[in-house]
Order: sequence, then structure tokens, then C-alpha cells
Amino acid sequence: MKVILVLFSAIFWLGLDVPVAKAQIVKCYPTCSSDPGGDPYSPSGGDGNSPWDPAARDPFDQGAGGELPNSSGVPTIDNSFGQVWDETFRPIKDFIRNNFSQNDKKKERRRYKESLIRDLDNKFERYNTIDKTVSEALNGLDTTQDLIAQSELSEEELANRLGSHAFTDLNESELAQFDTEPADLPALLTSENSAKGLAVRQAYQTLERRQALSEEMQNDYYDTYHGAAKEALKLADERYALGQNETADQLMDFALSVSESGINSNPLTGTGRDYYWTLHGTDAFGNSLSDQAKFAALWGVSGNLALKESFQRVGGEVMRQAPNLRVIQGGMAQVESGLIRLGLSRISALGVRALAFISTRIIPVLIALDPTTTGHSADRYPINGPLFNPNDIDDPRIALPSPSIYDDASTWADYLTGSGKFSGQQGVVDADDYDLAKAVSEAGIRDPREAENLVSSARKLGLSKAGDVKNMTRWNKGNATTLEDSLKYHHQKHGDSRTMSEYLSDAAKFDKSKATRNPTSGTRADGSVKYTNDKEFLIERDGQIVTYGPK
Amino acid sequence: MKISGPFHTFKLLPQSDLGHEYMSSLANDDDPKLTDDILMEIYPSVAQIDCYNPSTRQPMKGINTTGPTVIDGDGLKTLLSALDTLIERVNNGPESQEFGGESFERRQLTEHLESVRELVLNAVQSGDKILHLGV
Repeated sequence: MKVILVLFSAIFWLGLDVPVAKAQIVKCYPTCSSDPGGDPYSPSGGDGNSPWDPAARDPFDQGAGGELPNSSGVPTIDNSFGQVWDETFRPIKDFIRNNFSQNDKKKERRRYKESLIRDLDNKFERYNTIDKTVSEALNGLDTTQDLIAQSELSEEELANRLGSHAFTDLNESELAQFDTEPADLPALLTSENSAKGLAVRQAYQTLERRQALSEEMQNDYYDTYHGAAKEALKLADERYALGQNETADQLMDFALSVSESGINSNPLTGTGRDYYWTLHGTDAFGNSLSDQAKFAALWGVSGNLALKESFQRVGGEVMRQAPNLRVIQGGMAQVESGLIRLGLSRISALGVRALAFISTRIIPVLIALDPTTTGHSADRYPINGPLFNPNDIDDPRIALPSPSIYDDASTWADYLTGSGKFSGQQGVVDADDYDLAKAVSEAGIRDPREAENLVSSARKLGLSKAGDVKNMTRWNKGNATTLEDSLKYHHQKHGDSRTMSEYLSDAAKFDKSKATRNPTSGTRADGSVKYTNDKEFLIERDGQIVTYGPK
Repeated sequence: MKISGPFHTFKLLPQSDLGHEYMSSLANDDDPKLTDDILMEIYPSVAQIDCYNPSTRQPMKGINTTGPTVIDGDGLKTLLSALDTLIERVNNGPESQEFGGESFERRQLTEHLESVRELVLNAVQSGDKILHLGV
């Protein structure tokens, strides 16, 4: 199934006709997207009410719908990745924060939103490092693009090439050929029994499948990318074998990104073409484009389906695309790698705000089209699909897709402890701590790493009751290294003769509605809010308890 | 009227002490202390001083209002200056003064502040450090 999705994705990207039930050929994206007038998702087509309607909610829209974002007056940038991040992703982060704070009242989703934002901040640091590692290789990609631009293909040949794609008729048995594993892997240094060794081998298989796919699609451009990707993977294998996992991870990221470029960035068709047109303002042969064509290309890149609920037909079954947090999370990873593989000079040329404009729309489309990344085909799951896939967690103890965000705490406890229908994985919490795992889940914690830390802290503090763990989740560690350290400090300072369990329980019972709030609105100078009654005080920061005790 | 908590406590630390054993100082009631509402009055003045967090064992900016902080050097001088300014303001104010929604008598406030000021002044003059234990 995965390979089928890969192929569907590639077909989408390459702008081909998509076969649906009974091999019927249906014209679809990006052919549709290059025609603003006929696009049901064009700005004029939005109802202006949906939070996903780009026409209504896009914070980067610089004019009335249908206008190409004007890069004149937009600040140009240097090659600082940090600046690129700051100017493109901060608004997106704000966009997420604003929209989800309005639309998602559920506590667990608010928590997840916050963790998403923290994750973005972490990625900023990570990609700063990656940027340095791959900058040299990107120069090679620029050269490749130049070669493409100098292609000697005539327009007639191009039309023929497009024509051969336009009526490709595929069926499941043909798709299945890509499901065959490569006959022989190169000699690798990592052990095939190690997690990293397995990852390298899987990546090799992905590259080989993509090469087979690109041959089938007559995408000659892939070969250069494929060579670069294999070289990076070879280096990753060596680094893993040397125990240099961080560098190896970066190389692995790079290998897969480059490979994706080969599949996705064909400048003559599909989204690759729209990218090229948008970034260069000309077609791949240097011909100038009309404003309308530029705009159409921009919308093609933007992905008119983005940020809008829609429906997809996969294998004859209609699936609902839910523009959920997970889609955005995966999309962010894609856009980040997109930034890298496009090269910073291209970003400069495009203009930061225009790129941000694109980014808001490209998210679900990118994720939909690449089922190998974080948001594995997220838009093709029913809306109650898994919140995480094993790739999202990157922990060998997690081997199965998670429950959905709507599943109950028992199901999540099974997932965390490797019990019940999740017995096929080890889980991150010991099975003996099932009740604690359930309590963590009941408190709205979904991230296995966070759940593991909470259960571990509870154990170290001698807490064994589910209620204790639930009470712990209400606390913020403040400036301490761990929540455990913070709780020890406050318990020792204010706990008197109470046990930790009693102290946490009393803090949880503190009735803020009957206490005096200081200040009456907003926060104190240190960002905290203090509640006091006749006998006790409780101080919160970011809605979580930082200290509690008697006055 | 008794001044109620929660309290920030202050303890003198020798120059060489990094305050890593701060947990053992938490239960000592004899150390000079400031009620939280009063500390918030001087917080803006000490929000950017260079400090050390003995919990994370890392330098940090500004005192930790809900955990431990080690203050020395210029940070101590800033803290002393902030205390002096507040004491002068209290001394020139009315008999009854309000901080953080709580009312305090002027004499009480002055005594409360002076005990901490004396400790900080001592540290500045001797080159020692102060361990501040937030609420």
C-alpha cells in the first residue's frame, strides 16, 4: 500500500492524470491549479468562513484574492538560515497559535499545540546545523538546475513528453512492481540488526524505488539527484558505524531530501514546473511568463488544497482530508526540507513574504504527496487516524502507529506500555506502570517521550497512584532542570509534614475561584499569577502550578 | 500585624560556594526573608542581573522567583541599590502602605526590608555571595 501511495504521490507531483476507480483518467492537480478561473479552491472561490480558507485567513495575503504577492518593498535577505526561519516560520507559528487557540478548546489539543510550537523552535536549531552541512551539496543542485534550464528539449518534444504522461494508465498490478525490494544492497558498514543500520537499508530501498519510478515516468532528471542521495547515504552509513549519529542523521535527512527533489522537482511538469516558474519568473527554457501564468504557478506551488478540508479518492474509497495539527506538523518538516533543497539563494530571489505566502498553502499538499515523511499520508487517513507514526517518535520501542487523538486513555495506555493490541511493540512505559500510563493519558499527555518522563519522575518521587501522576501534570518545572527537582524543592519548602502525594493533592484541591488573584488581570512582573486565600497561596505560570503552600 | 508569606529567603554563601546544596537551606526559618509581594516590587530591577542557577548549574539572567538563585558581584550591588530605593520610598510614604493587594505598616516594612539589606550589604563588602530561595 505504501508503494502505491508513493506512486500516487509522484503522479500528483508530476502533474499527471490520476487513475481512480477502474483506471478512469481524471484531470487533476496541478493541471487544475494552473487555471485560476477553474479552480474551486481559488481565492474567489472561498467562502471566507472556514479557518482553512486561504482567501479568508491567510496572514500573508498582500492584496485582493488573485493577485500575485508583490515582492517589491519586501525586505530581501541574506543567506542566513536563521533569518529565513524567523521571517517565514514565525508568522506560521503565530498562525497556528492564533487559529488553534480559537478553535480547539480541548485541553489536550492545546497542550499538543504548545508542544508543536516547542518542536518548531527545536527544529530551528537543528536545521541551522543541517544548513551548514549541506550548503556545499546545494551548490551542486544549483548546477543541476542550470543544466536543466539549458536543456535542448524543443517545445514540441516537451509537449510529447507531457503527452506521454498525460494518459499514463496504471493499475494496481503495475504499481506492485515497485513494491519489490532491491535485489542487492551495497556493502554497508552498519549492522543490519541495529536500528540505524535498518534505517540506512530502508533508505536505500526508498532511493531504488524512486529511481525505478522515475524511469517509469521518463524523469531523466532524477539520476543526478539519485547519485547525490546515494553518496550522502553512503556517508551516513559510515558515520553511523563510527557512532557519529548526529552527523549521520543529517546526512540521512539530506539523502532523502535530495532524492525527493529528484522526484518532485522536475521543472517541466507539475508542481516542479510551478516551483520553477514561481522562483525564476520564466519557464525552464528562459521564456518570460505572463502575470496570470505566474499567479497560476504560485497557486500551483501553494497548493490550493492547503488549509482547506477536502476529499480524496484512494483505491476507490473516499477519504476526508482533515487539516489537523498533525498534518501541519508533518508539513512543517516538509517545508523545512524544501527550504534546504531549494537553496537559500532561491529563497532570497523569491522574497520572504512570498515564500511565507506559499508555505501556508503548501503544507498539507506536500505532506499528502510524500508518504515517506513525518505526516505519512496524513490527509489520506480517515480523520480518526493515528496521531503519531513510528517515524514521528524515532524510538525503537515504538513500532506501531499510535491511537487517534480521540481514542480513550486505556487505548493510549496500551500504546505506551506495549499492551493489548499494541503488544507488537515494547512501549516506553513498563507494563507494571500501566495505571500511571493511563493516568498520564487521562491528563491529556499524548507524546510518548513526555509520558515516559512523567512516569519516570513519579517513580523517583515515590509516587505510585494514578491520581498522583495526574496531579503532577498540573505543575510546571519553572527554572528547574526537571519537574522532579522542582517538586522536591517546593515540597521541602512548603510541604511541612505532608507526603509528596498529599502535597500534590492539596495543591490540586486549591480553589482558585474562591481566592484573590494578583494581579486581577494579566501577570506579575515575572510572568506569574498568584492566588491567595486566608491560609494558602498558589502561583501559576502559563496556566500551570509553579509553587503552592501555606501563607 | 504579622507579615504573611510566601517568603523569599536569603542566605550568605562563601565565595567558593556554588550553592549546590541549596536544598538543605530550605527549612531554615532564621534566615532573613522578604514576603513575595515586596520582592515583586524590586523584581524589575533584578530581572536582568547576571546570576547562577544552582539547580541547573547554569548561569542565568534575573533571579529565579520560584527556585534557587546565587547572586554575586554586580548583581548583588544592583540588588542592594533596589533595596535602598524601596526602603527610602517606604520611609517617605504613609503609615500604612499596600503592596500586591496586602497592607503593611511602615515600621514593619522597614524592619522587614532592613534585615535583608543588611545581609546583602555584608555580602557586597566581604565579596561573598547570596543564595536566594524563591517561593
